[in-house]
Amino acid sequence: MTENTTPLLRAADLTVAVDGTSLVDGVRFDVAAGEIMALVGESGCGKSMTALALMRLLPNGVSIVDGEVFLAGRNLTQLSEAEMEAVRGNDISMIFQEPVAALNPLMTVGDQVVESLHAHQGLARREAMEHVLDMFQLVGIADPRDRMRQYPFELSGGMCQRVMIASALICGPSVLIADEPTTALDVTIQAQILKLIKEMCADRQTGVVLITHDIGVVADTADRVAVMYAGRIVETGSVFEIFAAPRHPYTQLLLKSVPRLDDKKKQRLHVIDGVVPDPQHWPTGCRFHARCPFVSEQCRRDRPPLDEVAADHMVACWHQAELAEAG
Amino acid sequence: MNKNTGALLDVAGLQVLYPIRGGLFGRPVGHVRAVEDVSIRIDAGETFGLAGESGCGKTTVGMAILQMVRPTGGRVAFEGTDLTSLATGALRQIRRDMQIVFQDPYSSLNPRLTVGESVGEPLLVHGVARGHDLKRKVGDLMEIVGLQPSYASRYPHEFSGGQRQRIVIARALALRPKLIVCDEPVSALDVSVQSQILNLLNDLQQDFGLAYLFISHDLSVLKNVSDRVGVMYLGRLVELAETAALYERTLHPYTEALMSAIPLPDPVRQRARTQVILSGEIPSPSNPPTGCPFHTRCPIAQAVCREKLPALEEKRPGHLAACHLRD
Repeated sequence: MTENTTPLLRAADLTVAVDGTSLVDGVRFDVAAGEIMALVGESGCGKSMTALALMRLLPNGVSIVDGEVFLAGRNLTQLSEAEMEAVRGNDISMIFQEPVAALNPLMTVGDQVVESLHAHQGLARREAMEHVLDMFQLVGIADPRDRMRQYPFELSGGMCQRVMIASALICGPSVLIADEPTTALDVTIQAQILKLIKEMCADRQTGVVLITHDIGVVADTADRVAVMYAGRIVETGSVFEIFAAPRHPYTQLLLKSVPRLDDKKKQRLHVIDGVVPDPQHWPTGCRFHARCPFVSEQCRRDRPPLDEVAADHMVACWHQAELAEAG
Repeated sequence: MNKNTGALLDVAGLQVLYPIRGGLFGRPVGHVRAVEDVSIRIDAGETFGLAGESGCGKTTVGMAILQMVRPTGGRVAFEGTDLTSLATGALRQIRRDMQIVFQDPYSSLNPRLTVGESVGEPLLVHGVARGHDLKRKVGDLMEIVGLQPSYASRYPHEFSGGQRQRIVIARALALRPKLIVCDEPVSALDVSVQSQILNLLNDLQQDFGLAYLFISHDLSVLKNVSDRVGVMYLGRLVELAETAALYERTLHPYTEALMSAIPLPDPVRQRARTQVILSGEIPSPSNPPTGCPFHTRCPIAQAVCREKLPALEEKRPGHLAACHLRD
């Protein structure tokens, strides 16, 4: 993490809880302009809750109980709802996993994007329409004039995700939160959408928080990676560092357990024994200890701090030094 | 394909048309060509992988083999008996030998039955076991799939996705089938759990000599489990080969694109790859393109591809592809 310059987006010890049960526990990471930071983890690890907390769009009953979110130095957690309303869309926006469900089924997609432009920037309808048309073209929607008049159900999932991206980026936010943006799409469409996100964000220097469970998507798209397990970040670093020299046992096993195109036929896959714990039953100490092959007494008892082990590489594991030596 | 190979399953020229109903009286006004002219053979103890994107008809092929959807054309011979002409009663006996595991382990278990009741139901229905014997058999099945027999008295909601999929597999194994259709059995699971289930399926195949029809959109998963792989596009098989041959040298441009669209879980290699990114979307199966169904998205399409449907031909020994331009 860079200490002297203000990062574009910073989550500082962010903790999210529902009824006293924490779902996200002391999460911190920075995102720079033009950087794609992947938040990786399995279901229930708190990655989506982290995303919603950044947007302050947490569901009822779930709230930020500790920590801050800074957007270009501004503390979002202290803003009033009205102030936050102005930040959303203009400065930080979000796309979701189910693009068809995220759009209003009763409005044409054109009107929906026009509306967000009207609401956030007060543009007149005609002017907004022109903007939307340009934006649709930019995100690769063919025949944008016709598409604008269509309803979400008339478009494919990939096309709806393009509409979502157009809508999210049209007010020129500095940060985009993408929550599993390609999980519901076919792989050939996924490749198109990932390419689009990479290009759009490089061109506009948008900082991206990419939430995904797909290791391949991370390898393809991310600049930096934060690996989450049971509500906490267990390892962060550059994508090359994390894949070449993962230090946390969870990261190591996760990377090894993925079936790969370059595997041999019927090769036995590495597994992580056990199941992902749920928030009510999060283990003490290091939350991975119950599934970790290197577990010790200390792991069961004490929470390991997220320590810097190399430049821009942080790991929360009591045994990372020994593991690194053992290779 | 040869009639007298002694194959466990011999599917020839399978066709499934779904009627599109319209108008006041719901008369069929057209057809969705879900599956057209699909021929595959599966030997005992073998895994045939069926790949393709959503809407390509791969699930329908699985359902049509089990006669859960009645084919509108072609033949499905199981151990030499043509299932398409069998009445429901006769089918019931055959179904002991053929089982299915679905993608979503959350919706494929009855929430009101204990998992023991679910696993034991096929044994009860087919009069194989009851009472104490049934209980013992259920316990054995639970153990085979790696669950404690004492879990039999619990309800599905008490289990994680991976555990539920184990329960579904135990139920599928109950009648000692010869063939299991696995329809995206790991797609809904977490990465760390996927490899557990894939290893389990591979082990069970070894132990019980099972044959699998393994349906998946994920070519890296298929590479791990399959002996042979068929790739479908818009209801038709476009390529079919031994796993090693297919992954070493793809012939059909669609397979190539599909392969290329899967990001490798290695940032260095993934970013060094030249990716084939297909333009456009999958056409609707109710209105497939003329000629080669892939020509609208094919990067190498010629005039002949728009006019003439390419036959699925043996281009190399055991390696079939339906393409005018590739040999």
